Amino acid sequence: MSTFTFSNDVKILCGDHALDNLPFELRERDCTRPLFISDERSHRLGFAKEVRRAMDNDLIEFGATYYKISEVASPKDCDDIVNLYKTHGCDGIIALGGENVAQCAKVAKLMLLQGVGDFVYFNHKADMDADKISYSDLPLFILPSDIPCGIEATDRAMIFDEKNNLFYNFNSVLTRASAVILDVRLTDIMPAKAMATAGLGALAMGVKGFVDNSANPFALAYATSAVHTVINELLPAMRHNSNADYRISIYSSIINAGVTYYMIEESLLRDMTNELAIKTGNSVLKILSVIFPVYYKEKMGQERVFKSVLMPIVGEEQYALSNAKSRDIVAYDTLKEFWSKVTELAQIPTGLHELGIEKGDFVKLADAVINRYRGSDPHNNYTTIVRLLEEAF
Amino acid sequence: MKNSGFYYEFHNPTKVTAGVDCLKEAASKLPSLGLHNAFFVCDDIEKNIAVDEVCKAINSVKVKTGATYVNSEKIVCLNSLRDMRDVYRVNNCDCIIACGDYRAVNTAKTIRMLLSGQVVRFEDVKGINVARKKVNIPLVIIPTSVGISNMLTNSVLIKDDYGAVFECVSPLCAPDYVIVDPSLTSVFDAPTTIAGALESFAQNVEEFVSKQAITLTKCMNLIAIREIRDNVFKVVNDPMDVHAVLGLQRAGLLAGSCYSSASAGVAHAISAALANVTGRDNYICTGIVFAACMRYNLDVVEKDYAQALYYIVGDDKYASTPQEDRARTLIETSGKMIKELFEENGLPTTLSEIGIDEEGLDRVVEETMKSYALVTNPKNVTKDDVYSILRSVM
Amino acid sequence: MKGKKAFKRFVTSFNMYFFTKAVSCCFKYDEDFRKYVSMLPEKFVFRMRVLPDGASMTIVKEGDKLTAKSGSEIIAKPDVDVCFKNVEGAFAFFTGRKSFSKCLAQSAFVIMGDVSEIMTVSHMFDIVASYILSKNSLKKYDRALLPRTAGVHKVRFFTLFGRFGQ
Repeated sequence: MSTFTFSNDVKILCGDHALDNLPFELRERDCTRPLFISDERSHRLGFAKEVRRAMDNDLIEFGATYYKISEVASPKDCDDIVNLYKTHGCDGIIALGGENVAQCAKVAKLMLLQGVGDFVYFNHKADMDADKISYSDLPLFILPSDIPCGIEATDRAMIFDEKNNLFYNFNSVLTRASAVILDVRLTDIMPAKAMATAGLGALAMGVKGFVDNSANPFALAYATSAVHTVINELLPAMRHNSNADYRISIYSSIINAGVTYYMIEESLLRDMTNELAIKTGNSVLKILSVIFPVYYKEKMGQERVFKSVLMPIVGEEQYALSNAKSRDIVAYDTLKEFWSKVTELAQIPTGLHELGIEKGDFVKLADAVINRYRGSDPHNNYTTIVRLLEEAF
Repeated sequence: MKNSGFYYEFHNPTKVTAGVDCLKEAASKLPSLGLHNAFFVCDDIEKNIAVDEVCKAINSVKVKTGATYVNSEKIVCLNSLRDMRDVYRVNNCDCIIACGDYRAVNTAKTIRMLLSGQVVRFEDVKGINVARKKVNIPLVIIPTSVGISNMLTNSVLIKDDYGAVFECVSPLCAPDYVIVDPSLTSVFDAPTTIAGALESFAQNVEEFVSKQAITLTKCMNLIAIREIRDNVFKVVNDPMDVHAVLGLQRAGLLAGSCYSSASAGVAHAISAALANVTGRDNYICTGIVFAACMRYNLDVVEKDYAQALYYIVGDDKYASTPQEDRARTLIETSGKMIKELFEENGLPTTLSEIGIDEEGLDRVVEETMKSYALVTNPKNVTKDDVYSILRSVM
Repeated sequence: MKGKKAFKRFVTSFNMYFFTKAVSCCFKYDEDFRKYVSMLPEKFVFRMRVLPDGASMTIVKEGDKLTAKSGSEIIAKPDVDVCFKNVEGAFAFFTGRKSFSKCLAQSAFVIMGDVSEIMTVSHMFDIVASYILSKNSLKKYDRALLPRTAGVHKVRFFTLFGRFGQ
């Protein structure tokens, strides 16, 4: 039994009227002039108005509002947030929106806490690991209004500098949110396609987290709950997409899956999906939903822990009845069957070619991934990456 | 749009490091937490050899022990807190490190809440979510016994000047860092370790069936129950088996981290009342009443109990037990396990053995009905229900 | 950002007014309610309010008398002060959508004072709910309620038309 460390100081407020607790949480942290940031979409759909309505008293006044976060989180957005924050004397950040808003807000928080005025400071520092444990003292509230991306409740953030073709990967407690608020009113009815993609992405993160974090009981619990929820509730959520309970359930499973997935120190899968997501403009969850079955098949023979992943997939009853020696195969088959059922029902992409990736890019992509990968697993080499990409094509 | 109105909050603010011989490595990170001059709280410096080991480890990384306070009270009283506050200030301490069993943990959590919230009058922090953070005072806990899930919870008990016990629930009570090294624990006697493990088992089961349980907390509880099943008998056979002790401690950690969200149930309420009335340790009282409380809740949470059975008996027995009998089997197995382990280790198994008679019963019932833990019990508990639970274990 | 959720604030204050009257009526007519009141300490003051500056109600036990009043007037320093974190929580409670104990379980409150008296108050409020909520609302109520010991219509009549604060 090896040593493990677990830390996830992010409060999760989830469910009915969760948003109405935001003013209380702000008051608790002596935050009276928060900066409110969002993207065009959330503003247009009226979610920003919902947040304003939730601020039900005159003690809290938005120091400034900013609705122009671009679709892919960029250094400019981070700089804009930092400048606004400083100019208007704000004392906290409320970030409403999708993946882009969450990423920018997290990096802006890190910049503010470290006293960094310009994103240029991070130039050519590929991985921004925190070198010390520190206490976050800048309230940051993330309110996912789109499907969450899984990074909300983690210490990670990723920014892509399109101009210089640079990818910044932050891993620091300074990017940590104070709370993530999942409220039904902030989530629109999602088409079955989007729900399926996100659900499968969460399932992939959950299974990966389950296998890689088997020594850490906390991370294992996060992974188990994510896998269990997706397996049991994704199909109903797709069929009854106006049902808020199912929707919130899947969204919270994405948050949980993210916690366990981003806790893995080094992961070829993560590096690969991040690279593909950035280069093709697709979301991480979408890429995962395509690439994971291939990755799973590849890794199954190497890691015996795949046996125990059967438990959250089929439940105690089936697990107890299954043959102990072939549990990894049963898990793979069940997962594959579930995957096909969902992809067929929702008609979502099953190959990389459907996401606009061309075979000719594989060499370049594999190069980028291998440069980024810091792990020591000898199986994770250039050839494996190319093979995985080809199989997923 | 269907919306059942369910709402939950989940927060586990504590960083946890757990592993055999992890103390030195974990201690090396303490200076980066901003720890320089520590206020050291322990329960019994002479008996607890681990305290010395911990002191050495933290001093080796240049964290000074500015002051040491020994507190062996089960529930810390206001006078001790006043003393501690003065000692902390006089010695210019900047953090708190607690080492010991639940007494040291409760004391350290309380003093951190008071200092961090800059509380002047103790009455001002009575209640739920009252104290607010004004100063950052890191709190590190290094437990030396098994089953102290209170190291991760956000509540503390304080005895006032008149001897009355009151509860404070605040995020300030939760520590910043918990270091669990079982080699500090195995010096303890087996009965304490086993009773602690069984208390953590009871807490996990109660949290699992709690009204406020969510999928995440349920998964944590099931993992914890499996850890207890895998390790409790190993510890019985060899109390020095550090890996087994670590397994039990992990279960305690998981139970503690679910507490702020899932809370507890009727067994917790009754055992706290029993401990208060008889002065016995909480874990002994839990062991006595737990099976009866499970039986009481059975009709409402049969499905959950049936699921939990798997984590107690494993593949074969689970598969061979008919579905309708699984919940009852869980209760029987748990009851038998607790009874056997208690008897083997000379611990009491009935209320009469801990000195509760008919008169005492009334007091226990009254105290139980005041417990905040009843709110999340799956069944609405009445006075008569508590009487019948208690009478069944007289 | 003043004046938001005016409707919910109004309904909460309105229902709170009648709720306090119902508390007085239950004390007068319901035996179980009186039993629970007798469990409270002497000169016990209970206050319930909506943060940060919403409606509030106070219940004071003095000897064999119970006074319940709504409004911001401070009768005495409360022994237990229950504060709804926001108007939504209060709205859900005072419209019978959530019981007091459910609010407690879902962290809808900040509670200042001795937590041990809270459960007694919770039982008292359940009894009040059993009188003032309609049949349909009671079906959705998340607590099993004790059988009523007084006439429903009587309690409802005096709640609506009785003198305040008795």
